[in-house]
Amino acid sequence: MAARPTFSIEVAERDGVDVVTIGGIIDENADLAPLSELGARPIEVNLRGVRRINSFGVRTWIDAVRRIAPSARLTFVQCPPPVVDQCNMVSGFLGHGALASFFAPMVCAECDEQIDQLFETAACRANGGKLPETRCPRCGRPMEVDDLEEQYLLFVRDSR
Amino acid sequence: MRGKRILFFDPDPRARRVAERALAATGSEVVSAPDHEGVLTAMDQSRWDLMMISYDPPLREDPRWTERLEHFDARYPGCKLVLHSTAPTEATLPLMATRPFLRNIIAKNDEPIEPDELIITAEKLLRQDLFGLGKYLLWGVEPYRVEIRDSRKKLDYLHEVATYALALGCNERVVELVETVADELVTNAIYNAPRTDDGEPKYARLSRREPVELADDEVGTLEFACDGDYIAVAQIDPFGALTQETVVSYLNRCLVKGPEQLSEASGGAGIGLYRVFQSLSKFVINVDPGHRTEVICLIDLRLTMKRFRQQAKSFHIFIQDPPTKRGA
Repeated sequence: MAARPTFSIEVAERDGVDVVTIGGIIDENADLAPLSELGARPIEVNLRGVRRINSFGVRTWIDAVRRIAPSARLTFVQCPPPVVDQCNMVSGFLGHGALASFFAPMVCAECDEQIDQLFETAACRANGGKLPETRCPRCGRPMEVDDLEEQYLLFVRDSR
Repeated sequence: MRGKRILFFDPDPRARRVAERALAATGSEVVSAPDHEGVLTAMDQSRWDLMMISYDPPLREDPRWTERLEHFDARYPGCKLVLHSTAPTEATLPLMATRPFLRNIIAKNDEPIEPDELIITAEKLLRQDLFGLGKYLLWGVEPYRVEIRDSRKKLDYLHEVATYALALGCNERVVELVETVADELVTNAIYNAPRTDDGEPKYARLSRREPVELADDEVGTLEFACDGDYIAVAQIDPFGALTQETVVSYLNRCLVKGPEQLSEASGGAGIGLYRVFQSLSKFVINVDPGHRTEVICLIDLRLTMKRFRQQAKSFHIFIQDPPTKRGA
């Protein structure tokens, strides 16, 4: 098995927005200072590469998110299932931010195809708090989320 | 166990049949009550070594049962109690906070009840033979063992477990569950388990960023194994300091989403046990106070993630009786 990435964080500026890209494992080795030290410009945090967050990582994360200036518009995008799980389980995980898009693990009951599909939170809200229909890329049948949909989408109800 | 008497109750006749067969096969004398009136009567009519009782309605709402449960240890001295329930474990955990005699809850899901878990639970309690991951897996399975010694090597320990899970063909989400469990168990063995000679926590208040290398007599063990149905991850430490009160209070605090979830009282976040609990199907803690703790986490590989989330979780804390009581 190839060595897995532990933690990475990159900050770039794009059209007046600070874009933060985080990947790997958020644990006691993760240095989230580059996130918490950002100014009042809008911040977009891309979490697609996050594989796992341990309990100490949850505390580190919440501390970092709390230190972000409240006036900064904070948006989380492309959140994978491990991040969505934390949003649903741990109070204050997103700080004053909003989760704009996320991946959901989809499975096809017909051909067993499994994919992580990207969804917009706004689209789910517009769909009555449910995931919009996703067709299986292999057989074209409707897919279902491999989780409890209501539980997985708790953050949609909780978020602004 | 021969010479022991077990009272079993479940309103489902299929569950009763399964339990009667399974428990009788252990050599114990088994009496199965057919309804909740019957179990209430039977509880007081004889002396039992073990009661295994369904916690589902209508019994749960019967004030006569509530009264018996409230004073169980005084009313039935020496008798062990196991509840089995279709309710989510989160609903039964608060019960354990105020009833230290209540340590075993078996989750019932699709099947009436798993005979394996009934037998293992009953025999562990009656024989007081508590330790060993092997009890929960098919015979012949050989666990892998990793010595837990140095916090700086945690990623290496986790890498071994993850490699094992991937080699079994587990998908990415199951591997993540396994890694989550192993991560918290290793952290627990290094920072929370060790005690000073006075029994005080030795490293618990240290930040998890502070490296710790355990002395030879503090070293823990990480075990992992799979029998096709379950993947098991266990942690053993030579301290036996984990208590029912700690486990239950941490879990109950974390199960309520709110500002109290994270603890400021330790060098960690105080949610490690909760994260372990959310990642498994069966949670087993064996404690020989002052000598040894074994935390066993079993993840049911037969389930999709959706089914895994739906399933209630079994929760067991086995505490070794003092030697005087054991011989009784």
